Amino acid sequence: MLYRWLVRKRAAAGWQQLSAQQIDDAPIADDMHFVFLGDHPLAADRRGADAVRRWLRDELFRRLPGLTFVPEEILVEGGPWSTRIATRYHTEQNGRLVYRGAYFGRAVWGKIVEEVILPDTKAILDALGETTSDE
Amino acid sequence: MSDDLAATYRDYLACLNDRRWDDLGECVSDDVVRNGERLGLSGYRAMLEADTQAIPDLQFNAEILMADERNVACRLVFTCTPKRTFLGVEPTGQQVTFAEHVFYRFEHGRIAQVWSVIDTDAVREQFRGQGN
Repeated sequence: MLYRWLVRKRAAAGWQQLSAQQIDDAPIADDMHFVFLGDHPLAADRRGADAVRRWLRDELFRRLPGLTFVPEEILVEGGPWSTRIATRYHTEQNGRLVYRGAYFGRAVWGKIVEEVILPDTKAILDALGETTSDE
Repeated sequence: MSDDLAATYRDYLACLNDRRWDDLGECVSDDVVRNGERLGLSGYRAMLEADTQAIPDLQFNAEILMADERNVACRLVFTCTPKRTFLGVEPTGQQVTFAEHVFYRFEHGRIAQVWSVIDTDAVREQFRGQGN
């Protein structure tokens, strides 16, 4: 129970760090697998810490500058050898809602080894000033 | 994991997979809200019935299921064959696979709030690929 509480606190702090674009401080495992689902310019399937950091820096924050993350619910289970984290969150730019997302991740001994994020694609396309291909 | 709530949620999925719509009220609150919209039990049931009419072989399979005292988070993965227009896309008769990430808040043992994101792009992309 205490471990889960600590991880929830750490995860909330992690979203704050990400909002501050402290990308190098993120506890990413060297062989992390990262998936940002959807059919839009930010969709990604990356492997490795460097590739994930590049996506955050060169794709996400370049296309959506000043993006901040607001976790709304964080669930944690498992022990430090394999901790699952689920987060429901939304993002903002200048206090304005950009998109909502649902995140599932897994950490091993404090390092994130996998993340799969399903964002609201339509909202992302709106934010990027694009439209869906079937519209 | 909260075993009680996880078990309650698995019962809910079984209810959906068995199409036991008259039992839905045992798992879902009368005032259920989905993505900020107050559907109520009847609206929620109508949504599910419409989905399963469009996709008769729709089965709700939890790939990841997490629960605490009040909340459930689930990654559902669907492999199915839509027969009618689904998510605004005409069916091709071929099978598609897509995911839904969904969070639930429970009150008095029933689902009171639902936040859902569906990978609609995956469905469109697969239909598009099959149409080529």
